Amino acid sequence: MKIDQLINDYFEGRTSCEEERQLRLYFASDGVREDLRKYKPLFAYFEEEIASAAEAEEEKAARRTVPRKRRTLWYYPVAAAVACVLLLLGWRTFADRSTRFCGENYVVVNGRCYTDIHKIRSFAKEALEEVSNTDDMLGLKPDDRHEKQGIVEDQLKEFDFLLEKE
Amino acid sequence: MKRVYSFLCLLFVFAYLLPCEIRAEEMQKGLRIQEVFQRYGKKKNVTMVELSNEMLDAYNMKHYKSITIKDDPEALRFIRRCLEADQVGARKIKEITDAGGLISAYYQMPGEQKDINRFVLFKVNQKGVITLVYIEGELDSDDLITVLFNK
Repeated sequence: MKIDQLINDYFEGRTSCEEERQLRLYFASDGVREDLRKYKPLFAYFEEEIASAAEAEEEKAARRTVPRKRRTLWYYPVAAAVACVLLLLGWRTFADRSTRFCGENYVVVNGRCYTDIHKIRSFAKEALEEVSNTDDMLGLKPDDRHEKQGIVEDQLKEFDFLLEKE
Repeated sequence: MKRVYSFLCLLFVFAYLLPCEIRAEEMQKGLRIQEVFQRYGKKKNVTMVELSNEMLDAYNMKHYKSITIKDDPEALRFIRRCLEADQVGARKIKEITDAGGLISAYYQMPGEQKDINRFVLFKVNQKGVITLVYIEGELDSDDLITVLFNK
C-alpha cells in the first residue's frame, strides 16, 4: 500500500528525492506487483538515465586525475628565435637592396628608373664632370682663371731676386 | 615529424640568407654615405646612378655610385655629417671649405678586400647642386684622376 501511496504522490509531484529513489529501486527489482508493471518502463528509463549520467561523471573525474605527459617542446622557442633572426636579416637585406631596385646598372631620375645604357653613361659622365670641375666653386669663370693666373705669375716674379742672390 | 621538417627548413633558409646579407653590405661597409643613397636616391630633383662589374671593367672599377641633389639644404647638412664621419682615417686628397662648410672633397679609403680602394668625391656648386660620387675598385688615385679628366 505504501507503494501505491508513493506512486500517487509521485504523479502529483509531492514526492521527495528519497521517495523517488525508493520507487526506482522497487521497479528495478523483480518483485513488482502485476498491476504496477505498466509503470516499470517509466522508472526504468529514469534509472538508466541516472546510471549513464553517473558513468559520464566518473569518466570525467577519471580524465581529470590522469596527469598529462609533459612533452618536451624545446624546438618551439628555438624556431621562434630563428624566425625572428631571419625576419631581421631579410629586412636588412632587402632594405639594403632597395637602392639596387632596378638591377645592376641603372639611373634613377625623380624616382623613376631607367636602364638604357646610353642614358646611364650620360648621367654618370655628368656627375663626374661636376665633381672634377672646381672653377665654379672658386667663383672663377674660364676667362677669369687666366687673369688670376697672370696676377700670380707677376707676384712670383717679384721674388726672383731671392733666387738670384742664392 | 612535421615540426622537425619545418625547423630544418627554417635553418636552411637562415643559412642561405646569411651570405647574401654579408655580400650586400661588403661594398659600402662602414661608410655613412650609404645612407645618402638610400635616403635620397628615389626623391624628386634627385638623379642617382649605379654601375657594376662589366660596365666598369675598362676603368679597373668594381662599383660606381653617384647622386645629384638639387635645392635641398637639409640633404646638404646630412651629407656633410656623413662625410665628417667617413673621412676619419681616410686619406684626404682634396678638401675645400668656406664659411658655410665643406664645398668640395676627395677622399680615399682602403677597401675591405686587399688591393681594393674606395673613393668618395663630393661637391656643392654655387647653385646649390650637390654631387656625391662613390667609386670602388683596384684603381689608385692617379688612375682615378686620369678617369676624371679624360672622360
